[in-house]
Order: sequence, then structure tokens, then C-alpha cells
Amino acid sequence: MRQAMAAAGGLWLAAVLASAPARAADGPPVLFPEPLSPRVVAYRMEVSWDPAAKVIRGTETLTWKNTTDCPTAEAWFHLYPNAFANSSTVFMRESRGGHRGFQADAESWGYCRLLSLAAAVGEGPEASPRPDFPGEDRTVLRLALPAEVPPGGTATFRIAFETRLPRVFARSGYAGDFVMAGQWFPKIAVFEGERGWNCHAYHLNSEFYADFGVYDVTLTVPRDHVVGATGVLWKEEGRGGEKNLHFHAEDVHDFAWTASPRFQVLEEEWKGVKVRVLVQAGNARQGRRYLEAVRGALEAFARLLGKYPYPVITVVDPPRGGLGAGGMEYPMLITAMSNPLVPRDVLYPEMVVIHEFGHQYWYGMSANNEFEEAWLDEGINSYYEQRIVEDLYGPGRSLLRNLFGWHLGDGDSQRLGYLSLPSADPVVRYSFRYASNHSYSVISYDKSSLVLRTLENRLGREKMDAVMRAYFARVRFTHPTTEDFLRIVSEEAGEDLRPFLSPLLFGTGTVDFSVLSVRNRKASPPKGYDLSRDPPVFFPKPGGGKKEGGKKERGLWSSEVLVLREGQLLLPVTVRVHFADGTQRDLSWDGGGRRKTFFFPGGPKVVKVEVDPEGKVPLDRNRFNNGWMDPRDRRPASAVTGRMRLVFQGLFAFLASAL
Amino acid sequence: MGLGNALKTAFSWDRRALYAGLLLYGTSFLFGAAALAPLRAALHARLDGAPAAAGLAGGDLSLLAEFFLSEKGLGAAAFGSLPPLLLLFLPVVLFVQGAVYAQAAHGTGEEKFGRPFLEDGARVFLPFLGLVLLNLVLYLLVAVLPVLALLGINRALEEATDPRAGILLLVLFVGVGGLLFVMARNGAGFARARRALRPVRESLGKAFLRSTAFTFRRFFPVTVLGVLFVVARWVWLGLLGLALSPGTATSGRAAVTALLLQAGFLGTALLRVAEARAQVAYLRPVLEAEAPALSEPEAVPRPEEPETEEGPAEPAPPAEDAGP
Repeated sequence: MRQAMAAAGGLWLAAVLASAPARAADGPPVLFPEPLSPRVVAYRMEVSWDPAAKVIRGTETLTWKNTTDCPTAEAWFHLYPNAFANSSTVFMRESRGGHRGFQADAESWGYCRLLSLAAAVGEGPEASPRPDFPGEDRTVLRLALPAEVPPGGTATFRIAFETRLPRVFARSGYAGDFVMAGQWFPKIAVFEGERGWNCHAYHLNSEFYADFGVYDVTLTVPRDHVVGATGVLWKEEGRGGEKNLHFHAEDVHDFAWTASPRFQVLEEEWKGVKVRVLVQAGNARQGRRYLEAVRGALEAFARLLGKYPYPVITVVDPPRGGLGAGGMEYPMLITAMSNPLVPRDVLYPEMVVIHEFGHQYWYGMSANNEFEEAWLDEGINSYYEQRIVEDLYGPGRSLLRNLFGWHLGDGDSQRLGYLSLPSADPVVRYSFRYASNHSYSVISYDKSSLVLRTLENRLGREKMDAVMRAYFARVRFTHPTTEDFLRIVSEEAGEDLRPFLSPLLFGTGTVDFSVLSVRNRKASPPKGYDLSRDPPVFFPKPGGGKKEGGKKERGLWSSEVLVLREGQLLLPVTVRVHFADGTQRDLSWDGGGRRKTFFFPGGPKVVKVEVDPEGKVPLDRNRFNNGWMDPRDRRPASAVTGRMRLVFQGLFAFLASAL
Repeated sequence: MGLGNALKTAFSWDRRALYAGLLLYGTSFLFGAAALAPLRAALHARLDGAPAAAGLAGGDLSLLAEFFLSEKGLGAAAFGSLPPLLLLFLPVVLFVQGAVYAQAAHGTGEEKFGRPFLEDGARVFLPFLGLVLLNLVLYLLVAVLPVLALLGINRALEEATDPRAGILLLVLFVGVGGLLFVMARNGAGFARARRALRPVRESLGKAFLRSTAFTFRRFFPVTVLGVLFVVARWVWLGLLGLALSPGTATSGRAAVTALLLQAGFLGTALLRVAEARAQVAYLRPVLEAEAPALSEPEAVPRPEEPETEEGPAEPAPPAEDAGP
């Protein structure tokens, strides 16, 4: 028995040792022995955070590999914090100091400046190129390299920089002693070979785009600060009143971090993934909601797309005054958005967490260009977000469970977003070219999600899941485009989906089905000779016919239903017709032509017509004209007016008591 | 008369108080129904024949929102009657409340509700309107300082990152706002009570100033009285509308909830009447102590009795027999 236990213990120990990441002596662990991504970049940074001055100072050593077939003699960088330098920057002009409802104030200025810069190509000598700023502001920097970087070659950059963070109103910055550092360091852009360097200015309506690689970051912060970051913390050293934290991340395209002396830490583990919630004191209850939501998201995404591959996921709860940092995604780190007063029946915090976690897949691993094709992450992720929240919290109640008898689902709220501005812009558009911030939001998030729901209704859920799983497997750790999406989903679905999807993605068309008219006419029986009989005989007179089975023959009707399609989109739809005898028929219309007439001769009366009864065309702009019925049903309107009566009466009753 | 006795008087319901409460409740009911009428008509016209509307009965908020999005202009048309009705409602409520104060000033009595109620209401309407407006102006001025203080606290807490700071601010705003609300209501209420108890022996301005001074002199009991009635109304409504309500999941449950809320609204109207009676009852002995000779309200002129025809004089009773 003892021998068996010793053997088991030895086996267990061997298994543990085998599963532990390999580690070089005094070096970071190897998280993925086989790289998951092309690892175009390798960042090594040593930085310190000065909480008094709100400044990050440090050095960055970046090795960049040219993985394209084209040489390049220059390098472009993003200096995102310069978007907050002054009121003339692209971001500040476009936003007028506001972002997602949060306003900049006198402290919301920031910058990123290079203190020194050296570049070398391959094994060549180092030079100090003079940067220039070819864009509309200093968020885009261009360097002429000392030599051309050939395909497969590398360039190394040594940069000393200083970043002053703004008081947060747009994702990155500080609030009191809380800091959320996102897009905080000089970040090399993406070289796309023949297309050149892809490096847009930081716009109001855009997010980010960068290459995969490895990050080693040493962060020096005050000793009492609790820190969360992309990657794993593999070493911590105290140094007087400060501490050095060494983080390592592989196969990610960004590195973000957060710190605050007030964070409380909630931790749990899910199938080898450490889930860490950094919550504000006084908001612990919301922290437990975040944990629950992340757990649900981990399970759901594992089932739908594959297990989350990274070792940690951190959820950050921004403080009061720092909610401008909320609702954002970075590799292995997401920010939530809530406060202690949000009741359990309002599931907005859960929705935000599940959405931001979903970005670990759509953006984090499928790293599309968010400047140019935002829908590929925001839209696809919104589609998964509504599916998962509805599965977890109930369809139709996944945002609002019960507010005085009213409820709201996440999928429904996406439809409302779409209806508020359905056709100002196409889904595929450079994000900074949308007509407005509102259009960017509702089109790249909500309408894109509805497009995918329309595709799901066409393919069926099982096939849709298989297609999207295959699509994700093929594009993960790459930079997919809309063209890749169309090509791959068509291949995986086994049919060319471009004719179906292209108008939805590239056009601004909408659709509105309606029932134009329903006519029921008493059918007149035929008169004269019935030539189907030999010899011909007169048709029997009405009422004089033989009674069959003792039952009187019922009146017959000739009915005509006219359905209209408005809008430019051609989408197939089901028309369900209900008859007076209780039967119903589902008829298909491919949407061709502007109208379609359905005839029902010699049968029971039509009493109800529903176009798209199961809501398989979520892009339909108006569901209330999708039907007709007789007799009319007063109950829905009465239910609403009953509630409104109480509201109106309550208002007058309040006044009567208040005076 | 202390607070306790004032409350006892307030809740010693007589017929007039009950009818006044019913009248207040009924007025709110009718005005609410009138405000709802255009929306009701529009909803039935558009939804009765729409199968897609079925989800509205179950409380689907997205359907309701989608409906208003799809029917541009419906909101304005449906809710457009609300502002004028609110403006019309205010003088009606002031009239009814005025009559309640005036009748409370008479003390308990056996007068009928109908004509005397209307006459009292008409008599005091204009002076009471003046008092309410004066009081409104006063409390807008009084509110300046606390509002500025609250804005200062809000600004000072801008740097506070603790999420609980938001709760503190909310409590402060609600607390200070609630207190100002109660004080303003007390001011308007006691001004009317004073005028009802001393109808013509002092000018409107004096009545206003003296009643304002009174509410500040007796700040604590007066505020307690006001807070009691405000809290009582909310508790009553909350009890019926939330705690006891079976919800709205089915049409049966929704009907029960609606009935409970109607009982709630009736209760709040009765409590408003009780509050007016309490204010009058609390103020009466104070005025009597100030000037006993002036504390008796002037008798309400009764309507002239109809003239009756003089009939034949009654014969004088027979003189008593004086004796032999």
C-alpha cells in the first residue's frame, strides 16, 4: 500500500513538473513552447510609474522582424498618448473632449515623448535617426532606418521615453491614485508589405492595430500598489518604498497594466486559467458579479471557439471618476464598468464583462485592423456576446430582468441600436469615416451582430457554429480582413455566401416587410356546365349539394394576401397564414420583386398573417407592420395603457400631495 | 396642542375629510385618464391589428421602445396633452386643498360636504394661491445656499475615487433636497392653515411672514410632522404597490397590482387631507395663545335662507283666568 502511494505521489509530482512552464535560469517562463503566433515583435521594457507626476519613464528595446516579402527602409510608430497633447490633435478635435459620455477636464492632457532613439538593422551599426511626424498630429511617427530591412530581416530599436498620462476620460489615464495604462508606450505599426506601413492617426472612432510578439516588462511602482497586467508576473523584488514587478507575455499584440493601492483582489481558477478581479473597496459585490460573468464566458467561448489559451485573465474595476477607463479590452486584461448601486436585476456589468472577455478572441487572437474594419472584432464579438448573455441569463431578460414588470434582452437592445440609425454607413468602412460616433457604434457593433444573426438564421445554428469555429481556427493569430471572412465562411459553409453577405456588409440597404392587404371574399360556386364530366352536367346549385357524413358543407372563401418588401435588401422570408379553421401554412418568399401575392381559393377564411413570425430577419426595420389579424386583439395595447395609466395617475397624485 | 393631539385630530375622520380625500383621488384619476387618452387611442389604432405586438402584454421593453422608434411623432402626439393638463390640474388641486384647510378651520362639525365645501374653496382660492406662490419664491431663495453647498461638496468629492463616495453624495442630495421639499411644503401648508384660521384679520403678506416665522421657530416639530406625512405616503404606496403586489407576469396579477395601486393612490390622497387637518389643529392653540380675541375664525357667511311666506299670525295663547 505504501509503495503504491509513493509511486502515485511520484507520478503526480512528475506530471506537475512536466506541466510547469520551462524557465531559463533567472529568466521568464516559457508560456508556449510552440509559438502560437508569428512573433513579429519582441519588446523589452523597464519603466517606472511616478504617481505624483502621473508619468511613466523608461526604456524600450524592440526587435522587429520583417515577415513580409517586401523590404523597407523606414519604420512607423504609434505614439497614442500624444492624442491628448493639446486641443489640435485629431482625437481632441473629433471628440471635442468627450468620449463615451465622459468629459475631459483641465487635467486630461498627456503626451509621449522620446528622450532618445537609436535604431540598427540586423547586425549593422546603430544610428540615431531623426523622427518626423507625417500625419495630422504626433500620434504617428516615422523613422528613416539606417539601412533597408530585407524580407526576413530584423531591426532593433532602443528608445528612452516619457509618457505623461491624462486624467482618464478615454480609456487610458489616471483617476486619483488609480492608473490604467493602455497604449502607453511607443508602439511599432504593422508593415503590410506592398501596402506599406499601416499607421493611422488616433481617431475618436477607432481602436488599434499591432503585430503579435513577446513582451517582457519590468514595472517599478510604489510598494503599496496592487498591479494587474498583460502576462504573468514571474518575479517581484522590493526596493525600499518601491517594488519591481517582472511581467512576461507571449503571442499578444499589446501590453497594458493597471495599478492602485486601493484594489482588493478576488481570485479563482478555471481549468488552469487564473481569474483575477481587481475591485475597488466598497464594490466587492460587483466584483463577485464580474467573477461569475467571466466564468460563464470562459465556459461558453471554450465550447464555441476553443479554450482560452493564456494562463491568466484580469478584470479591472475602475474607480469613481475613472469609469472612462471602463469597458475596454487588452490582452489578458479587461476593464469592467459598474458601481455599488447597480441592482442585480440590471445585468449591464455582466454584459460588459462578457463582451470585453470576448475580445480576447475577437481582437486578442483574431487581430483585425480595428482602424479599417472594426466590425470584424466589434461586430463578431457583439454577436457572441448576445448569444452568451442570453444563454446565461435568459432570452429577453439578459440586460434587464424586471423593472416594474418590464424586461429587456441584450439581443433586443442591439436591434434598438440598429433601428436608431440603420443606414448612415455600411458595415465595412474605415472607422474614422463613419458619419458620426453614433453611426460607428450602432453599425460596427449592433448592425454587424444582426448581420451575423441573419447569417445564422440562414445556415442554422449548428452549421453557423461549425463555420465560425473553423473561421476562428484559420484566422487566429493573424490579421484577417473582410475578404478573408467572406472567403473562409463560404468555403466552410460549402456555398458561396458572398451574394448573400456582400449587400449586408458593403451596402447601406435595409429591409422592411409589411402586409399590404388581406382580402377575404366569399367564394361563389361555379355556374353552368361542368365539362370534366361526360356527358357535361350542370354544376350543382349552392346548398343543394349532398351532405357528406351528416356534416353541412362550410362556406368557402377566396383569400388574397399581399406582402410588400421595402428597402434595398433582398432577403428570403417566411409568411405564415392562419385560417379560420385553426390551420396555418408557412410559405416562403425569396424576397424577389417588391411584392408577392398569395392566393388561397376555396378554403377557410384567412384570419391572421405574420411575415417573419420567428424573427429570422432581425434587420427588418419595422415589425409592427409585419402582420394583420381579424379579429383584432386589444390585449397588447391594453397592457401598455394599463401601465401608463398608473404612471400618469401617479404623476398627478404626486402633485396633489406635493402642493 | 402638541403633535400627538394634532395627529389624533387629523385622523379623526369625518365625512367631509373622507369626501375631500375621495375628491383629491378622483381628480388625479380623471386627469390621469385624460392625459392618457391620446396615447391610448394611438396604441389601439396601431397595435390591435399587429401580431408582433403580442409581446407587449408580457412587458417586453424592447418592443415598446421599437414601437416608439418606428412611429415617429407618436411620442409628441401621445404625450402632448400632458403639459396643459398639468397646468389645469394645479388650480383644481389648490382649490380642493384650500377647501380642506378652510373646513378644518371650522373644526369638526355636521355641515354638509357639498355646497359649503365649494364655497369655502372659492373663497380662499386666490389668497391661498398667493400664499403658495410667495412660499415657492421664498424656498427657491432659501435653496440657493444648500444647493451651492452641495455643489461644493460634489466638486470636493470629484477627486474621490471610492465608489461609495457616489452613494454619500446621493444620500446628501436626497436628504438635503428632501428636507427643503418638506420645509417648502410646511411653509405653504402652515401659511394656508393660518389664513384659514384668521381669514381677514391680517393681510396676505403678514400671514405669510408670520407663518414662515412660525415654521422656523417651531422648526423641529413642524418638520417632524411634514416628514411623517411624506414618509407615510411613500410607505403606504410602497407597501401596496411593491411589497404586496403579485407583479405583472399575467393579466390577472397585473389587474391585482393595478387595484392595489389605486388603493395606494386613494390612501395618499386621504393622507394629504389628514396632513392639512393636522397643520390646522397644531396651529390653532398657538394662534389662540397669541391673540385669543382674534383666534375665532369669522363665521362663514351662510347662504341666505330662502324667504318663506308669512302665514296667518298664530292666535295668542289664551290668557290665564285671573279668578273671581
